[in-house]
Amino acid sequence: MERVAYMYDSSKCMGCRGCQSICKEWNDQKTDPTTFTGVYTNPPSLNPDTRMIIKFYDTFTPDPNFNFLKYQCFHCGDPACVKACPSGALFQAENGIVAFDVDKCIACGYCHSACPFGIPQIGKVINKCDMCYSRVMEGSESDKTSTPACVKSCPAGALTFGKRNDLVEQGKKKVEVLKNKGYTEANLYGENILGGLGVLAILKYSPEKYGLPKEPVVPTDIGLWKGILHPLGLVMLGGAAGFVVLHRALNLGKKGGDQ
Amino acid sequence: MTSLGPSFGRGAMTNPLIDVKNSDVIMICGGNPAENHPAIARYINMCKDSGGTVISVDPRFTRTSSLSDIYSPIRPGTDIVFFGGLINYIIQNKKYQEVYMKNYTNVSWLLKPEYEFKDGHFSGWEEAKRMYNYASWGFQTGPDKKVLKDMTLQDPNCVFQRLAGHYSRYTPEVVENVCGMKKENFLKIAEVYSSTGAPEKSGCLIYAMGLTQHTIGTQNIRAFCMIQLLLGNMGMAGGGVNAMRGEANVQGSTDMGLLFHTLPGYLPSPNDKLHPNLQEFIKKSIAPDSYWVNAPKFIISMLKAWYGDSATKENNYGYDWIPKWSKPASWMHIWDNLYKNEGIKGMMIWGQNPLVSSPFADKTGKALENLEWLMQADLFETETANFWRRPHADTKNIKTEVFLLPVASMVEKDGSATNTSRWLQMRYKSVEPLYECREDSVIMHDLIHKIKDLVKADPSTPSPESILNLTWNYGGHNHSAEEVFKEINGFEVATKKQVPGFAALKDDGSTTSGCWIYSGMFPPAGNLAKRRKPEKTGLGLNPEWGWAWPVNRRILYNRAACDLEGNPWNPEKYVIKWDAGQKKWAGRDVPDFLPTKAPSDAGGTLPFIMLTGGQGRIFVPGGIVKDGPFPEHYEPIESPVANKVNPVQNNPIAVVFKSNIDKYAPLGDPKYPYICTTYRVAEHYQSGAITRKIPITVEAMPQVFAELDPELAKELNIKDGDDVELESIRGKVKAKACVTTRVQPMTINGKKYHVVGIPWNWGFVGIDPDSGKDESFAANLVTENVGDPTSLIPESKALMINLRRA
Repeated sequence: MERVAYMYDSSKCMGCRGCQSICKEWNDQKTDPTTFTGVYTNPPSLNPDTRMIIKFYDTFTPDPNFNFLKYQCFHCGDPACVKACPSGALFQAENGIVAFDVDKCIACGYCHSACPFGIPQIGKVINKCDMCYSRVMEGSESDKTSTPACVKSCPAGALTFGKRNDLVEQGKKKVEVLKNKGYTEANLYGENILGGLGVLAILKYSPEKYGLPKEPVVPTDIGLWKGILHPLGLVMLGGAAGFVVLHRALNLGKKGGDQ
Repeated sequence: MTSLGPSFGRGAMTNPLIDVKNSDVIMICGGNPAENHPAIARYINMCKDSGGTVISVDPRFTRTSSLSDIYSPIRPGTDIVFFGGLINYIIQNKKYQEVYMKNYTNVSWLLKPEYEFKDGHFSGWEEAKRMYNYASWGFQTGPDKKVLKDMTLQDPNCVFQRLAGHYSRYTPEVVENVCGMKKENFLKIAEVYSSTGAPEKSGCLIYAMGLTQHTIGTQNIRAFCMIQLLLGNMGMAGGGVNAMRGEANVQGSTDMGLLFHTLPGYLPSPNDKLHPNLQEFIKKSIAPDSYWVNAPKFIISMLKAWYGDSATKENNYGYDWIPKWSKPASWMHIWDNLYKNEGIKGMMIWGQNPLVSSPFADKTGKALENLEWLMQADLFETETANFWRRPHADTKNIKTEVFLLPVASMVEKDGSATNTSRWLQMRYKSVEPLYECREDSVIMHDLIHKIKDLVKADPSTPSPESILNLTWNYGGHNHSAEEVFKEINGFEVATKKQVPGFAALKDDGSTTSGCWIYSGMFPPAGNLAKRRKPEKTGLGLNPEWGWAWPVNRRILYNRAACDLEGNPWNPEKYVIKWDAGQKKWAGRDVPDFLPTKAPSDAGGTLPFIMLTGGQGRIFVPGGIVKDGPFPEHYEPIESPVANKVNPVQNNPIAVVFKSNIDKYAPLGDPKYPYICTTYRVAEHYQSGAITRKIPITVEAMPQVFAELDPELAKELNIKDGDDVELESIRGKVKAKACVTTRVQPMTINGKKYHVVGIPWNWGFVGIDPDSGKDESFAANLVTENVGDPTSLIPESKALMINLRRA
């Protein structure tokens, strides 16, 4: 099965947050009281009830500017979270979508620790973007499409859903257009990193400015965990104490941007 | 709208929203469509994808500016200086589309020699009365009463020469000094935008309340219209002057006579002195030598729609039953009247929240206290319905009885909306109204029957016929919206057969039509607003999607998109063209022209069919726009600097209210050193009456904030998220600080000034953490009750304030 993906074009995004709103609405997520802290970004970070946010930036250039990043799970081609998950809750579908089964989740938080971006959020169970797995797989009866809700909602046409290979080609072309317009740092984020991301982003500026690692790496321990410790871990899960010990032993608990 | 009508003939956005994708250059001034009209962003992006350039000019770098290729800040209230500078640049550098300008506009018309602009006033200024005598704002005529013209444009009295003279004062240096727009920025924008003067190119101007909410708002748009006429951008695909309407159905409601000075279809609202009887009303509605010669047919058909069989030739079709207005009843006038307790006893407010949305909220709040009763029909409780418990209200002494009627939302009822592109589209009920909520039209139905019963029972009612004879045949209590559309479209009285369009309307009482410009939406073939066939032309005109007034034209004045011989200026993006073989105009759109009138016929090259003379107005005669035939810069009523363009500080005929509560900061008052502007955010809709009750939008944008530049923040020791207080001479409002380089200090005449922005979507009834407990509740506590003399729109976009940590 061919890999699907969606692409976010930061040069077309206007930060209206239609995607953020529809993500909450479609996925029936709770809201939390927030306050205005001086920036438009709100909620301030991903949280157990928030799968995606638009991040706002106005310090990229000396001239007045306003930049946006759609921030959520990037659906790695080589997803560390799936490897780290001891209970089989997280899985990578044949089409590349990294989704999860809440009934299997034991809220251990290893996925969060393993993720190079620290994206999966743990409340009672895991929560993260699943690229509207059910919409993509079965289609939405109410609106007769089978794209993620955010893609469907975007009034600016900044989001495109499709076959990943096609999107990579489109994205590279757009980066050249932006470079010709004077955006020398323009880049297609996610073409090759982490097995190729399933959410590609055309960025006007370097990834670091958006707080994204240019060359994200999966902690080496993950390989270890998957190969040797994973079977052991399942045995140890018999006891909560063992669970905590293992967690500390692997020292995976303090990483990632959104805790 | 008060400038589009006088310039082109119709007060409506000229091109459909999708059409911006066909532009070579889009310039957005005083509008923030990314936040307030996000549906257009897709087409702005498509324009960029095909090589177009987007310019954004705004006091703040907005979310719209983030989509632009070129941005410049501008001081609030100085747009005419920028536009005047553009006009001057276009003339000096001969960037105009010469054939278009000479033939399709009135630049060749000779002005009366006594017309002049001197010492800050146009000719005819009467200082004692503080008003203009418009006699000199007109044209020279020959013995045959025809206007004299000079096609060489050399006559010193021709409009072109007077135009060049008028704007010669608006140099790039003046633009820099007054607008705070860097000269190199201005020249870059001027070069890029005026490139659309090439015949095959088109440029599109987009605006919204950022241009209209000024004491010179009408003239701001007039300047837009003039630029487009000079560059030959009217009628073209990808051209036009495009007003982003602030609400999904504003176009529809103004079409239907929402404003006090118009009836449906932009017929004038009868005035007791001007229109004492039907004959005078008809006489004054006809504009000779234009399509308005048909006005009598529209007027009498409308009266027949209203009064049915009771309307006869003998009783002037019921004209005498219509109330006539004697003094202006604009939005600001209503509140001033109520504040001064000059006669309004009760008020019905439907889907509006004036306590938050009107200028000077303290005055609005006190005005509401004078009501005996208030009926509010809305989805939720609003600030207005709760005015009696607003912060600082003397609740115990407020006697007003308030009725809150819960109404169905737009998804709980059938109906239509007319969008900013003039498209009528049906929309359908998807769920039944909740609980006791009822559709507005059902409430209206019950109300009119109750009123009829009361009038019938009370013989002392003055002019009972005006109520009792009104037709109300829409199918009873749970009526169908289509019955209303049928009446709007009109039918033959004898056969009840729907008319095919307004060309079939008669002035003898044999036809009806509730709103002539909508006639044709529901011909015998059926309701065209239901159509949903995507287009094939490639331009995005979608001729079989819904229906657009007038007669399904998508691009107004499209005759002007062709040269004198009828060939399109741009063959690829052509809209219509003259087919010499078939002897008719045809193409992708309905011609805005008599379809069989050949270019070689008399009048075959006069594209603005609604105007006398058929040519677009660079010069507007006779005080149709009350404060000048050409736009001229005057400072906002509250401004930090003296007017450097002419010696008169403010628009001499601005509408300034002077009740005992209205106050204005004098020029350069050190107590109010910062320039303030107001706006909306994407997350909240209008006064926030709906979106401040929706958890998702409140979570994303929870509290009112004020944007200020880092330099001012440092000076006042304000940090991101701090509580700050904005204070004008009229009131104070609290907000959270948003320190951002998106707002920049401006250098005006060599001195630095700071701009502070505040969105007006917030109030005291909502679910945001501070609602209800804060003593200040709406940005409009600081704004003022002054307005544009023609449109009577308040100046909410430029005022003076002080700012401090709260």
